[in-house]
Amino acid sequence: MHRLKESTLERAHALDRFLAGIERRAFRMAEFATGNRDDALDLVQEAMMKLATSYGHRSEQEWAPLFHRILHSRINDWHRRSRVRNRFRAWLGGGKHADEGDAPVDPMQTAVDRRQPDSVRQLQQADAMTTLHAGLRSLPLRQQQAFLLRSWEGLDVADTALAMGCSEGSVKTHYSRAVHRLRDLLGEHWP
Amino acid sequence: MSTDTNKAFVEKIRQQLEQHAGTVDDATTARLAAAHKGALARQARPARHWLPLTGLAAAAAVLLAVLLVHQTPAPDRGWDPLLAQDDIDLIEELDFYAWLEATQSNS
Repeated sequence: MHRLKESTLERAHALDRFLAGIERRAFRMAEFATGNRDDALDLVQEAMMKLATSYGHRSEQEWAPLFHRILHSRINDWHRRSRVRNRFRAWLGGGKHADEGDAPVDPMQTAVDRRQPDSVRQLQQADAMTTLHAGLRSLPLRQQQAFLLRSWEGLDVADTALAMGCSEGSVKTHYSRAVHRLRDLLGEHWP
Repeated sequence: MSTDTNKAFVEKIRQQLEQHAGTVDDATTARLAAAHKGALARQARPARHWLPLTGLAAAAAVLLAVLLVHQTPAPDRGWDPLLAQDDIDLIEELDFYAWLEATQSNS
């Protein structure tokens, strides 16, 4: 009984470490995919809950691909819902996209933050991230997922295929196309 | 494009993404931490698969109790009017039976 309790506690600690290690990257991935902070947070929260309740008993090596499988499945659902919603809004709004309003740009959004030290390096990094962000956002969803899971999350082809719910061949194709597309978009000398 | 060049390019992106992940604002970090804790708490909670069954059993018990309470009471068979009628006739003709018995014993 005592050993069982100890083992359960160890598993809880292991899951705690796993989630702590993955949560920020998962959030950024969901943010790249949705372009919306709150939706990204909701999706990561749902994925964490599902992993803990349904797959917490599985081996620790399985957690990463399972977590990403749940997260990317949720992201795919989010995109499906968004497409339907946008079509409906476009139909109601006479073909005008709901997000493409004529609202003036908030000058606070574009103003230069003068509190930041005027370091060329920081500006270059911010620039590089902005370019990378735009590049990643412009990739088709499956290419974006394959690229981020392989290059950032460090999953191998088999685990990426499990996470994306597709064949290993598809993962290789998506990944290769993503790298070429990003090279084209970001240029030879990026960052 | 050589494989090494691609690897270097991808590694640059990975480093940039790592930096980006480290710059998550405080509000988002707090929400992620709350989600994380919520997930752990949910895992620690025992499974509640028995909950629907318990609910069903409770509902059945309530239904049974309601049926028992509202059941119409069975008629009291302690006094049957038909049998009672026979008894009254017997009492009324008791004198006749006494005379008959006396007549038979005399003869």
